[in-house]
Amino acid sequence: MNVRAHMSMLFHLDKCIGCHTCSVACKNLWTDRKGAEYMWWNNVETRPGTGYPTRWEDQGHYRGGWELKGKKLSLRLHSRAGGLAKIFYNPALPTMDDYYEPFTFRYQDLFNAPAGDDQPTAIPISKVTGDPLDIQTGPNWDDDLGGSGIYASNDPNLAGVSEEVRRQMNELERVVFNYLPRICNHCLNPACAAACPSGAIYKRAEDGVVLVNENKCRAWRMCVAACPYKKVYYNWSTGKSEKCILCFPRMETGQAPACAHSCVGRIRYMGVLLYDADQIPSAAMVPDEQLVEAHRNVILDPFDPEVLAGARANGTEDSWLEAAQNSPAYKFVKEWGIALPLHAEYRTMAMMYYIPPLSPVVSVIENELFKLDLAEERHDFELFQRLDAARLPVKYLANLFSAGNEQVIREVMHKLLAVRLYMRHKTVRGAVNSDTLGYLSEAGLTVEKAEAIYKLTTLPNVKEQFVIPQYHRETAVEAWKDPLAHKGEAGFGAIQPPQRGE
Amino acid sequence: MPGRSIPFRLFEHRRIPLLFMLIGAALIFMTLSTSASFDRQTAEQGQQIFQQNCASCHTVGGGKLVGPDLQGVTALRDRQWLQEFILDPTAKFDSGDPIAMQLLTEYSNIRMPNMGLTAADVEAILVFLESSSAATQPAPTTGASQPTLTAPAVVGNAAAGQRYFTGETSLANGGTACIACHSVSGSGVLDGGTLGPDLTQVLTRYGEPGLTAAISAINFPTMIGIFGAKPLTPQEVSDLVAYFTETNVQPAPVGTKTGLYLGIAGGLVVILFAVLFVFWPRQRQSISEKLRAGKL
Repeated sequence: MNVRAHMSMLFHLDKCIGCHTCSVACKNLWTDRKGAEYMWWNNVETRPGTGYPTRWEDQGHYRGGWELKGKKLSLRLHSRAGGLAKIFYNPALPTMDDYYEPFTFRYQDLFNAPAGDDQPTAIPISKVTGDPLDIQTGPNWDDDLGGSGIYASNDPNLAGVSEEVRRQMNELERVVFNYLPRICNHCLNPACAAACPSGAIYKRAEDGVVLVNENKCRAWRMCVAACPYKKVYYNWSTGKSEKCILCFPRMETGQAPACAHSCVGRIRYMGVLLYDADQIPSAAMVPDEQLVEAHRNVILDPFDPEVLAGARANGTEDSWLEAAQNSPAYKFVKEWGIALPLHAEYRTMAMMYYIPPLSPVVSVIENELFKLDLAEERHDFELFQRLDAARLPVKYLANLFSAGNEQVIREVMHKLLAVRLYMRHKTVRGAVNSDTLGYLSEAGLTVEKAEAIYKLTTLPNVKEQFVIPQYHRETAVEAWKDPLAHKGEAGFGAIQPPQRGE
Repeated sequence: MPGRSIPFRLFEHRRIPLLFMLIGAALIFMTLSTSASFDRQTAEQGQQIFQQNCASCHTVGGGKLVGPDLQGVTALRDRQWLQEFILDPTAKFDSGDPIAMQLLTEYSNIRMPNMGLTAADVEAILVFLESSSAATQPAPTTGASQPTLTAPAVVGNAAAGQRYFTGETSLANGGTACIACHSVSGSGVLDGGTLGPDLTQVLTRYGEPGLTAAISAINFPTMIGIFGAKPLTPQEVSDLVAYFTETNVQPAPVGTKTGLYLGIAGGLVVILFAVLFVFWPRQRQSISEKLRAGKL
């Protein structure tokens, strides 16, 4: 066992209202620079939709992440020799049009326009050419199902959803969408780091933040193609790649990352997870349907004395262990089991987690009025048992969050619904009946757990929402050990140590 | 005060012409004092220049090679004409000078190349030619100007010559194979290069002694940069001459190959654009564009 600590963010999708405050906070803090115009380290996508960059989940085109070939995990982008052969020609890279052509508005037109019959308007101009631009697409062009005939219907996650259901999702009785905020997932098995020919990308030991060493980056851009989430960006001005840094300068001073801090819906949680680095290779190589389970097993119990001893042996501070025990991430991911990594099938072992959204039940039309397809007296039963009547198909959610394994999604949805039914009975009807308690136990929850989930979901204070331990930069490895003596410690077991090293 | 200004008078402007006159007189005296040995030195320089530049085609009293034997040429021709001709033979040929035309007819239509000599060089050569023609018998030093004639005879092998010509066998001193610039009917790809003249019937034009002399000490302005430091060995010369003797019976090619080369270049360009055409569109269209065009 090789215990390490990780700072993980958790997104409660039921609470996201799609306001993009997080994106703007991140933009203003980090990417309002020359060369970073098109970058959105944090972006919010409408689902179903194609996201940003367009159809980033289409790995047949972008070739991101890992694939399991027999008993070996290899980059989907290229082999070592293939990467060398195509080092100057990488067609898997997204083009500027796949992101969007960055634009601004010619605001001086508002002041300089000659007197006329119409109000002056500020026309959009390209930030690339400076010329007026007929905007065809943008980083959030399909917001709230805009252009759904083009975008929503081409969502790669609809694979496996029947034609009938796909057609219904365009009808008013069934139409549905939710929001998906995305930042860098700071993976345990980052494909960007594996693909970098310069060895410029590394994962910080103390909190797991994946960073690009701008001094070592040589602009090969293999990371841009290899990241399955397309969260490494190339800055044309500096000639270096850059990415979300999980606002580590903020975390080191006890503040939550800017996106989480600014979130008006308070959907984001930050907390420490302890994980076993030795298990990463085996957990990344299980069949698709076991990926989520294997991923959960890598995360360790911060109350287990053996784990704590292992963490201390690796130099983790006690403040981190305490934070791990109070971590909302640990509770949602491991203790309650209702948070899932995004696209586990990419096998990068993403360390940011999502609580999948619930959705209304499909409506029917009666007397020209929309009506929920639910019998009043069987309301609870239908809501709980007929997950297939929910507007978001289970298969769709499974493609997003559980590598296609619908069983995992059903378990999570049952837990969420059971808490909801329990709290409705308790607060609205004033009494909890045995049926409701039955749903709780069927979902694998107890009354205490349901109350705790409810409280952390709806009423957390900022100290419960963001449990950020003290960073001890003074004890960082480079401050008290010779970095050269640690060069041999490449990676975390998945990568063989250099032969001449220890 | 007036007394103090006296030492500076020499540099007053009225005194300066006198100073220059003194210096000039001294220079003239020095020049005249050395002019006694001028002619002898110039003849020696001329002989050196002749051996470097002219000896591969001309002899002095050694008979015809590529060009005429220059024994007594200073008596035969006008000195002014000789000066002009050696300085810039191309101009003389181009202007249709009657003597130059007559020489062309006499010497298989081979034009003497422009050797890039200065007027002083030409003057030195003429002094050398005058002095050696004045001698009753050929100057003893001229023997060195015909090395191939005095060198022991080497038997040439035409097959080996062909291999030297095509570059199949490298030249011993590292010179470039002939085919890089010259062509011979039926050799190599497209008969060879086009920078230099076709050599199929070079033997007819130069004659065997002339050809041997010309390639033993190569002195053509274009070739001297390549072969000046990397001369052919006597064996290579003999082999090449044997090869040219063999090719001499073939008909010389008619016309130029410019059209053929242009065609080949054009064909390659067309193929390049065809390849570009196949790959270009796929590279350009983004997924977003494909989505909007309904192509996904």
